[in-house]
Amino acid sequence: MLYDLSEMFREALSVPYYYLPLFLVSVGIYGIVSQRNLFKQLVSLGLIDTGVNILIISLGYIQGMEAPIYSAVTPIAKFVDPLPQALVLTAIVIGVGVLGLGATLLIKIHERYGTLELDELKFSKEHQRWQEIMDDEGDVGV
Amino acid sequence: MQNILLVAIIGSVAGYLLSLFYRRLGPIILLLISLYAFAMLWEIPSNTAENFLGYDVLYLTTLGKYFALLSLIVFSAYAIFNIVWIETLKTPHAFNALSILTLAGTLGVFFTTNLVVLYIFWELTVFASLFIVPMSKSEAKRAAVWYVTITAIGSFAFLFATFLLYSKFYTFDLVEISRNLSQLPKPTIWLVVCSMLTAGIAKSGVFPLHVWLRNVHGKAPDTFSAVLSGQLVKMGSYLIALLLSIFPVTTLFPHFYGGVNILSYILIWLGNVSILVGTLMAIKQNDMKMLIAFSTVANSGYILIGLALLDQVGFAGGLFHVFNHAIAATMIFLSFAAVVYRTGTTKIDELGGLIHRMPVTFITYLVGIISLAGIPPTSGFISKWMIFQSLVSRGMFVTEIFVFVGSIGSFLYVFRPLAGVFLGQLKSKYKDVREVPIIMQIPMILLVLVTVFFGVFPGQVLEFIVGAQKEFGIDAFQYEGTKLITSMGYWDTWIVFVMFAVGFLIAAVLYLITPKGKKIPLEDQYTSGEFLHNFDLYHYASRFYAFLEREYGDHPSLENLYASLVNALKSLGKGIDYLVSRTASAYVFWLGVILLLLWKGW
Amino acid sequence: MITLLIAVPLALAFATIPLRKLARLILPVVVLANLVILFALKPHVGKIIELGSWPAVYGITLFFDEVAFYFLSFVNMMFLVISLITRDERFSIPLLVMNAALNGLILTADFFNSFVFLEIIAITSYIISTDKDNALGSFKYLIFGGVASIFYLIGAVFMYVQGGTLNMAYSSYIIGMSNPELMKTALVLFAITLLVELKVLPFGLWVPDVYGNGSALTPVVLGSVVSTATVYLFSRLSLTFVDEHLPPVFYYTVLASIVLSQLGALYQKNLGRTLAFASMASMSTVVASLLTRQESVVSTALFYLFTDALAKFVLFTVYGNLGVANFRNAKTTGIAFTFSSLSLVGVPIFAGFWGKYYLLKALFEQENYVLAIVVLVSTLIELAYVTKWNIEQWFAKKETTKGEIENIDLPFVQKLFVLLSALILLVIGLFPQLLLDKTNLLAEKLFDFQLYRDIFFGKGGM
Repeated sequence: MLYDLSEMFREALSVPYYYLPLFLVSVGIYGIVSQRNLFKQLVSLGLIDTGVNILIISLGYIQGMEAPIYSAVTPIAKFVDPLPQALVLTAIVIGVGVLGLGATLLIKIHERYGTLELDELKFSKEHQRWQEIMDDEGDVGV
Repeated sequence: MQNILLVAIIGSVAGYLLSLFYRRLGPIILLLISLYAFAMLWEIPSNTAENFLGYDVLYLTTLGKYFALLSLIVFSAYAIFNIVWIETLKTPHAFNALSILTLAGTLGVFFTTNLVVLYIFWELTVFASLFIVPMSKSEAKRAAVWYVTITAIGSFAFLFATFLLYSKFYTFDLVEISRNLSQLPKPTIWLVVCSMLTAGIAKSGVFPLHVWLRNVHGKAPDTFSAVLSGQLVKMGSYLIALLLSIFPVTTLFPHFYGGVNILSYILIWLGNVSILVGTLMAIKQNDMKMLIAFSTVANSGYILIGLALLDQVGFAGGLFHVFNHAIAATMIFLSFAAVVYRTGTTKIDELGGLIHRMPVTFITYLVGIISLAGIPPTSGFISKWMIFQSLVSRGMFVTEIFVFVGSIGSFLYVFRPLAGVFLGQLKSKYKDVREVPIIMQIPMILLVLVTVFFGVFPGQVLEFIVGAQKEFGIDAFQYEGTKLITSMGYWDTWIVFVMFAVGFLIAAVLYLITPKGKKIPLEDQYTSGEFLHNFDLYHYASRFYAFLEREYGDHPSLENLYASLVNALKSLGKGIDYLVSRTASAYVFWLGVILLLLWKGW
Repeated sequence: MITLLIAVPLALAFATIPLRKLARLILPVVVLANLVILFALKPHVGKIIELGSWPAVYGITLFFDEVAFYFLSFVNMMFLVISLITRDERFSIPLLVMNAALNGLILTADFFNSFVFLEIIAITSYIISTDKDNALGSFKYLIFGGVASIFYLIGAVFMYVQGGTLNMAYSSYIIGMSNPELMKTALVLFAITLLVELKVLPFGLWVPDVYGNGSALTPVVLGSVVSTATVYLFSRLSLTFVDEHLPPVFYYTVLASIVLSQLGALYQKNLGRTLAFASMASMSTVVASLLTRQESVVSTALFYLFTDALAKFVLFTVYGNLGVANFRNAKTTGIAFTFSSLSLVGVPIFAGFWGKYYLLKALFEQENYVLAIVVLVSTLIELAYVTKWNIEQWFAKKETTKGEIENIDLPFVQKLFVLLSALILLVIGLFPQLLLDKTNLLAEKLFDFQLYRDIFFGKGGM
């Protein structure tokens, strides 16, 4: 049995600040599935990342509360939850690392194959060919 | 028993190391171990329990002792033969070590009634022998994979049943399990017994799991084929015999026909089909080793029928046939090994007339096939006669027809190598061929003597068989000296032997006093004035049974069925491999995520 | 003290960035030091360490118990071997970082921390999987891992939002008391991420491209070490903190994964990809056993995991260095390969046999016939191709272009460790009780949330 999808969606759509993350993640997923260019796939991954980060911040947001900054003028305990924001900072750093590494890999791939289009990339097997066995048929051998 | 097993296991390491210095030491060690084990085992009374490495798992039944002694005879002959034959191998040390390990494993199988220990030794045997199979011909590689896979189908089914029984009774001891087996529900009993028998069926090469025999026997190192056919296949028969007799099969399964229960009836039909398939396929073979491989299928069918009858005469006949076929197959494969040792080929139509050059080999083969075809006075006749008696007394006429056709067919196929390899004209290519060295002749001569001796005086073998029958509560087979008694009469092997001996003498005298025929070379024949460029084409052994093969040339092949099954599995694997590709994997990944996230459960 | 396991490798990794050669030399020393510290601290198992002397519920905590100890020892020992046999200095710094992260992953008792460590491991894994010019495979891994890790992040934040703390023990206790259904949802999110590292189809589809390209280092690090640490985290999350089964669909997915990846392996004509699919299958078997949530089955799953990791180490090392070898000229290597592959299949007297034996026995005792039959069928398929590859390597006449028979062998150090591992498999095969006692203990501890909680709550803080 599936979860009640419509209920989930209704719940999500009832909160306006979930719209953006939902949109970003959907675009990202669509991009990863449909794009034939590796760089566009990486960008899609970045979109999903950003979407999720915004989602996390919105989870910690409490309607009508202030930014969690202590100062003489801010009233104590009328803050939004600061921890998700701290977590997102870390997540952003990690995301940058992953995206940077991905870009590096793409440069390597481009150096080697001269293209980033999946259709033009034939996964090179030349260095494996000699390790394959040839007479591997399912026959019983007469 | 513990000592024997330990000696054999340590011996395999010793065999490896000593063979590094001198390759002939390996077979000698195998021989010594076999003789030692034989002497030790002879003294151990049956129904002895022993510890193995501190575990109380070894238990010697009379049945196990019978099979173990038989195996040791086969291994001794194999060892002696190998002392010279080992020269032809590129990897003698591994061959020696694995041969000894095979012996250790197979003895372990016969020494225990603990299912897990039996499984362990079973697999030890399979894997030790597995790596011997491709040692002389590289074409045997695929054959070895088939060997291990089909054997594993059986042994995993066995393991499944073992654990199923364990989850019910919390013991692995077969004797204890058999006492309580009837408490289980009927479907479970069917499942358990059939799964366990699958192991025996796969190993003994009974239809429908016989497809591995042709290539494994045919392409294995020549002497090892003798062990494969003479000994390892018998391990399967042992398991069938043990399971059928230790489980109260007759009470567990309802009676069906001719006083035979339904399980036995099914097994008998498997035996029938094996006889038919083995015989028909053997007739077709031009490779002499593959020919005898199919004959092994047919004979495993005989053994299965005998064992499945589970009565006074038939069960004894089945067990006796185990002995006869083991010895006969060993003789035949050793004589083939001798032929290959000298000529280098196993193709029947490339040989001929070797009787003039290799008389001892010829006699070994001749006695071997006489026993195999079941012609008196050899022991092979007795066992077939016993199985036949039992079938007749039950009125199972369809099975009788199969058994009878199998016997006739066996005359046909054993004659093909006889005529093609040994009789006829000697090819000029082989005119310098000599008899094999004396050490190779010794085991062949010994086996000839064994066959003839037990054909005339089967008492010792029958004593074991009767012991095994008594042990499992089957009516014991009746015999007095050389007189074998059944409900329909008796057969006195001594009288028959004397009759045959007299007949043989008369024939010999006639042969000596009549004028000799003229020997002509192959080239000297009638050719209608044609000049012959290739005399081989005129060899009568090529397309020997063409007139018979025509009749069933387009038969459906189980080998092809299995091969296409494997190919179907591989195509499925290819599908999985396609999913790995970048395009597909993204879709599959997200499908997986959606499935796991949203599917709440069934 | 135990903090050093994370701090030292991390600090040295950054300190040696300008000095690559030094990093290669330092790596084994660091791992050895880790092991020394570990064994010195063995008497102190069953403790938590609060960093910065915050109470556990607010601060970052490390949790060091028997389970963590044995997993840490195994991971670090494998790391020691890897560091000794790897001569490629490019990967020394990533390996140091990964070592720190692995230790952290096993020690941490904090959801967000474990996410960070998981990501560090992932990033270093991407780097390591570029070995042998495999940027393309590595990129694929990166996309898979990158997307999947998001679920873990959402799960961790979800736990925080619901439970008010990131501490594993506290938040799962609170949510488990108030709303177990939510805990299960979070676990589903965590599991999806971990299944990528655990190589379960369809999440493990990156594996063949990464493992199968002929690198000696990548599959050993990812297959034997990272997978083991991930299994630790997965069993902690799914066994210790939750009382319920994951949704059955997980179980069926994993069962399908076992058989399908074996079929994939059967089809392959390339040994590397065969082994890649084989490791997917065996890891799926472990996960399936963990999902049964029965103590005896989990114990045997861990037994299976350790022996499998050892066997895979040998197989991948031999393959990575030699390709499809000709074992006639490299007998010691060949024997080690054959022993390990037979152990992988579960042939008697090798460790793998007991792994499968105990697994089947436990499954039958629990009357879980489905998994048992799946394991038997997959073993049958595995047996076929493992035999094929063994025979291929022992009996093929592989010739070089010059027509000579190839004569290559492993370098001495590799050969030594490969042989040693094969012998360990044999010894465990002869005395399986040695390992089984340990895994029984681990399984018992894994299921004991009471104990885990008590250690925290005894410390106070709430």
